[in-house]
Amino acid sequence: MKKTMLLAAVALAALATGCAAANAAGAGGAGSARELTVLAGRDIEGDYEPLKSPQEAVGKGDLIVEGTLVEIRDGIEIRYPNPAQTKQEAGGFATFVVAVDKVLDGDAGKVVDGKVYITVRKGTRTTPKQLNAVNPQAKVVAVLDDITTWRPVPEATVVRPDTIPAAGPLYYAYHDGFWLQGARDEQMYGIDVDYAELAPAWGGVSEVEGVSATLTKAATGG
Amino acid sequence: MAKQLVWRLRHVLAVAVVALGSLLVAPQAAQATPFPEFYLADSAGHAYCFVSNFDNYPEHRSRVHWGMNRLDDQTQMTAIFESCAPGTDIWFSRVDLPAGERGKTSCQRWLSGGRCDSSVIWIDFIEINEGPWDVEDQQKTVVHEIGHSIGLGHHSSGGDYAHDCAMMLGQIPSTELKWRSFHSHDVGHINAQY
Repeated sequence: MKKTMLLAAVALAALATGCAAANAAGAGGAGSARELTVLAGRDIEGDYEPLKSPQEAVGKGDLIVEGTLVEIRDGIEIRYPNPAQTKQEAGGFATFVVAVDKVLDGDAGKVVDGKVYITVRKGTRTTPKQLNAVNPQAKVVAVLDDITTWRPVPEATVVRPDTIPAAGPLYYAYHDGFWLQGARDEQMYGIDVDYAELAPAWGGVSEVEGVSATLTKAATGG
Repeated sequence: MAKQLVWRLRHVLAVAVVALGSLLVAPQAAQATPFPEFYLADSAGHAYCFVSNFDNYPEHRSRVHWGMNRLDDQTQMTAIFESCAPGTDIWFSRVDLPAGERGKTSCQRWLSGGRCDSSVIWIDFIEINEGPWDVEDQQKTVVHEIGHSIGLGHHSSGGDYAHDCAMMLGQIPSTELKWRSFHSHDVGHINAQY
């Protein structure tokens, strides 16, 4: 479904369910990850190379984890020598904090205090606080790129917010390698991507559990 | 007189049938790809600029000029090259994007009516060069991101939204111009909007 229709549907659903009140308890989105993924993908689009298979995901990902999205916090800021460019790009990220249940592939030592910190690019009209309010404590599977030392250009500086451990690794998820599913969801949701868009080599998986099993099999040479 | 009246009635009926038919058909055609699928730009004049990280890469600047000229040539929108200012419609930035991303578009400044005053388009030319046709693939991603900045979504994920055009994801399957262009259906939407 296209973004405009999804946003309208999500807005109506939010009104109908009075989800703001439920969100105060820390399990928003009425048990679904749909609203969260729509909000996270609002006003941001792009071109990317889809992951052709679980084997390719294992080959490309620095770390692959399964866990629970426990919190969404402020994101990194990019500072450029030109203040006008810094201002133009301000407010572009959030941090998804995932409590890791299983490391499916990669160095488990990179998980700090049981968590990984995933940088997510977002639109400027959406705040981390809004995203956190609709987080259904979603189950997550994530194919991650280590961006601890990443900078978009050599002359830029990446500034971490205080809420991200200064010394720990920082990750960015592959667009079609980041799937979320709330307790009431019968399918998983990606940020601006549908599970039906996954290549045939993924075997038609539609839930986090299925992706996790497929990636585990690929990681162990299956 | 009676014959004339009958003819006139037939004529009116025929016109009504045609009008009704077009009413029934046109929305179906428009639904082939909804529009806008993303935010809208503020006007038909689409100004663009380069941030300083493009300074030493004339070949990459030429890809952007090519893409903006494609917009100008294919649609009734006008590409305007200028120095970066707060209201410039697109700030093009040449960057390293993580995790296999080729390009990204985001509205960074909004007008009160909900239209976008100024977007940033980030292009990762090195990532795009993974494919066999570097120049054409770079042109494709530039056109793709420009498409996002005026309201287009992705059109190659299958189903009802499949179009052979620059709005597909990932590497182009060939160097055919259609993969670096807007689809005629989308051009119709763009021209009707701007």
